[in-house]
Amino acid sequence: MICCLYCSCRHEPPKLTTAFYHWKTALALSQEERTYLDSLKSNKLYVKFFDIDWDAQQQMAIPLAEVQVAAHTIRSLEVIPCIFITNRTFKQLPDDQVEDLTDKVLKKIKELAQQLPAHKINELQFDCDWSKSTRAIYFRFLEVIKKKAPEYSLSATIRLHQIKFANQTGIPPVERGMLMCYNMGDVDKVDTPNSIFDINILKQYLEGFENYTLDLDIALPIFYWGVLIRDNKVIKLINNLDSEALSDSTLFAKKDAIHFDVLKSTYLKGYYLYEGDELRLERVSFQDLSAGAYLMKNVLPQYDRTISYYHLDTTTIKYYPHGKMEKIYTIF
Amino acid sequence: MERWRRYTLYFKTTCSFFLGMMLVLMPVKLSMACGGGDYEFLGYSFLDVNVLNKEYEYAPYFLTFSDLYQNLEETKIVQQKDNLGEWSDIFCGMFPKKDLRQIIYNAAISDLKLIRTATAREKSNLPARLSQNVFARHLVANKCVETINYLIFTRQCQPHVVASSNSWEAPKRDSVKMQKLIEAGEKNFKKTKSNYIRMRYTYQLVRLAHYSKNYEQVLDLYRYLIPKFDKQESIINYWTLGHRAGALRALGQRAEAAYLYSLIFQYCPSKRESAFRSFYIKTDQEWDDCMMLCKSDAERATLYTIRANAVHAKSIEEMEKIYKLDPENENLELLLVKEMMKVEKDLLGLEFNDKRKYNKRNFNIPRKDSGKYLLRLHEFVRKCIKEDKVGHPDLWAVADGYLEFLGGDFYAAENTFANLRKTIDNKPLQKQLETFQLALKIASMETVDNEDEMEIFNIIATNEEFKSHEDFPDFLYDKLAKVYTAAGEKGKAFRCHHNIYDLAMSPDMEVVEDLIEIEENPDKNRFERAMVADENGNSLRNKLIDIKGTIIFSQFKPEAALKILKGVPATERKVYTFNPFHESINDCVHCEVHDTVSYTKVDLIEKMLRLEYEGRADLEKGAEYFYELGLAYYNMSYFGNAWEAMDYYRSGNNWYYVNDENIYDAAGLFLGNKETVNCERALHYFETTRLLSKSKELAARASFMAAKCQLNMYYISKDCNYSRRGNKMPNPPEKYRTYFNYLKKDYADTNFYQQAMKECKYFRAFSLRE
Repeated sequence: MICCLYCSCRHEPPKLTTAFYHWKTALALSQEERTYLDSLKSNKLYVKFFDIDWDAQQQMAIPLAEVQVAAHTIRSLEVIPCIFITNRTFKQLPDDQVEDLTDKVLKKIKELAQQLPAHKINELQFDCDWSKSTRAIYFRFLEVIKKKAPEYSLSATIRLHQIKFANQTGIPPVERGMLMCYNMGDVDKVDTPNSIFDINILKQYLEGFENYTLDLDIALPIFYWGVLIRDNKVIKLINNLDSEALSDSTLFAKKDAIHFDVLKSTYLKGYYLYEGDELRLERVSFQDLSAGAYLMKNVLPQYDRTISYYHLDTTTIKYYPHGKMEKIYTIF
Repeated sequence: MERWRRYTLYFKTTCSFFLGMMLVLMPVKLSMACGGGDYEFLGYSFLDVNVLNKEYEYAPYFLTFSDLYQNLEETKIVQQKDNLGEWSDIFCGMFPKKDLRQIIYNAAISDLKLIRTATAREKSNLPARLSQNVFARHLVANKCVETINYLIFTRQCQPHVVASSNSWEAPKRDSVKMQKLIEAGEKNFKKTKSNYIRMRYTYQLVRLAHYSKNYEQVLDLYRYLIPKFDKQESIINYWTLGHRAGALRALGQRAEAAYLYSLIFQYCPSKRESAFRSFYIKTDQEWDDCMMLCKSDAERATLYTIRANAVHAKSIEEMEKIYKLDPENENLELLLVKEMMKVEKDLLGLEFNDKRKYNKRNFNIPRKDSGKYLLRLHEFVRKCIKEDKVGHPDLWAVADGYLEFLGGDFYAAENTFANLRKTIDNKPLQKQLETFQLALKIASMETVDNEDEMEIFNIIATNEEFKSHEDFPDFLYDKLAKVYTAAGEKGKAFRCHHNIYDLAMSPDMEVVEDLIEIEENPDKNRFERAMVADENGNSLRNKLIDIKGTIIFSQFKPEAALKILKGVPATERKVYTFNPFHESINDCVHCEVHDTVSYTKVDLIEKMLRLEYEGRADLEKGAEYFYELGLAYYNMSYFGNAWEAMDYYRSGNNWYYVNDENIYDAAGLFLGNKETVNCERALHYFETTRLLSKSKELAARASFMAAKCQLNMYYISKDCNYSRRGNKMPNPPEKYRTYFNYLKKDYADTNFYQQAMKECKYFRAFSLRE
């Protein structure tokens, strides 16, 4: 007994790693981004390698938006390739094409990894918002990948509802899960206050963690966008849109902190807005991020984990300075 | 819409006019609940794009905006076709297109080299596969070495500039080889005398530089090579320009790039689609710069046209700008039709479209402020008419009338259409007017009397407009349903949307009685006659009476039901093969019952009334008769093999979705399916049997069956928390266990008790547990 107590006293606290997501097709980190990563001692980057979608014309799954890497900008970083697969791909994919798809995916990952400075990858991450009808085929896809590429550790993104309703949605056959703590609200609804992150919605989903058999890393949002509403319908998301871009009062009327009316038709970040359009700005405040981190910490079992942020972008850094980000880290 | 398309096809291929009328009255509806598939807007459209000048080459790009530019494969085919067309023109159409295609697109480099070798010989010695090709023979005979060298060069470029057909294969671009090809191409260019081939070399070189991402080189090559050949009309100029625009865009010179793309959009159909996709303006300043580059109002109008064509554009703004710049611009008319289609989608028949909630939910149609948008469009149309500067004033005048109609000013629309009928001589517009007038006539109906119904009948039967527009039947019946409902004519309103099958599945007594009344009216008009006839033109009277009788029977009123059902002639009564009096410990709806008998509903009810009478009269054997009645009512319910006596459709699957309303979704049933789950009458007879029976065995049987009734009543009650999908045993509250308790307490010594313990797992488990 004494021995056990002694042992438990010597337990080291779980090790936390800070990481970022890179979700653009051109991977060429700016000096500012590198400095930001260095200041947070983060050398782990989840990089979207490519998307997979179902091509109705060819009747097959096809790769899209392949990453192009400027190798010199990511030296010394550990890169984890991420592959986003649309759920409709698995809805359409015939069972007998799963093997073939895994071959193509692994070949494509290896091809693209040639661009990396180290040419070496240890982990692969798959991102798919699977549903009841696609669960079986998606999980089989993961199993085949694992069998064919045992040299990689596999991880998969997990949505909050997939924890709460794990008995219905299942647990993917991978080594780790990346719990995505964002995109919680219905972005298509005109009256959604913040579809990226809503602490009240998060609270509703903090169940089932104790029984979840997969070790979980955490992904928190540090992105922002504008939701463009025309004729009472959400028609477009404008990335990295903040109130500063809407400061011309001849063009935009501020209704409240996040809602704006378009007073005069104008181009905005490459999109033509018409008079009468509405904009809703969505961004996660540092306070909400901290509150979310506290809530998560209280329900998560303690073990080594990666705390990752979606996503690394020069324009977002100003809202999430490293001093504040370090505080998030300390919460965990 | 799809269902009407199906109707029309059927009508055209198999039906007489009268049968067609029946089918119109009984639309074949597709299930919304099953079958999957994409959602589609469910409304009406009477705008015919044929009102536009067929010469408008932009039309396909505007009027199919919902799936604009989706078919890449088709684009490739258009490009190939245009390119071959140009080669053909160069050679004055001397060669079959297939021969041109073989050499220009398909021949291997080795074959092209064989052709080149042959040009140097006295006698052509082409292999058989080439000697049959007229174009190849021409190249040899005329020693067209420049052309052959160019084609060989294009083959060498191909791997670097043409995407692999296998999406998973990485592009085989090799920038070193591409640069070498550019150098070689430049040398070839200089050696080439033909202007036409020089122009094509320019395209190949600029393309190579673009795909190797050497954007400055693209601009340099363009500047250097273009002045070195005489300018001539060719699609290749625009193809080359496209690569220059791409390079400018990549270098951040977006305004100039956008301007070039607008030229390509305007003048080069084979690249219109890619130009539209690539056209990109980021800021108001870039837009202004792009406008400054335009050399004419027509070019400026094209910029607005491209912007107006974006998904979700509110094009009235651009239309006003185009009108100011170039009132006769043909794109203005295309945009007018496109915008009217949107307004039509928003507002046509909105007050009576029975799918309006579905459209709002799934497509946000009508759009917010659609009325205001209509007013703005209408105001603009009137301005154009008044100023009389547009290319085709008649089209604008027709638009004026239709917008009056869509805005709800039926009186003004009627006058406008009537006046235009006298003046318009353009055939498509005349036809469009007729369509609008018919739609207006239907939309204007506020009441429907006998005379109106006769007119409607004639419209359906003879009106060419009605027959030729797939949306007219739906439009008419949705409107009629609204009018009939307002007038309290439930039967007619029902028949506007449903067939008799829907009624049987989910019966409504008021509808049934209304339709019977119509059927029995000796003075019914032809339209009413059609409403109460089946798809073969036969009267629905017997079916309606059968439904009415069955409703009453399912309400446990056998005498009244019998009276009604006898209204069906004996020879027309349906004969059922089942045995409602069969006793079964375990429910099995589909199990074969050996002692089946043939009954009509009349036979069955008469037998049941006899049993009732005898049960009351014979105190000795009364309990047995009542037991038989209990069995009959049980077996005629959802839980028994004779359910057809009281219902027309039963689905075992509904058991999983039992709800208070007792209405279940089912494929093809638009009002859902109502199940006969009530076991109270059966329970009443089993209880009577138990009380009256002098035989303990019979009392035990009655108690057991009563217990089954109680269990079923529990399943459908709000008290039930039992999951029907699991294999756990139900655990009903005490009030639903009365008869199982009786059985266990009072009849444990009977043979039946032992038999039930043996055959009924639930009862055994219940007995052992308690």
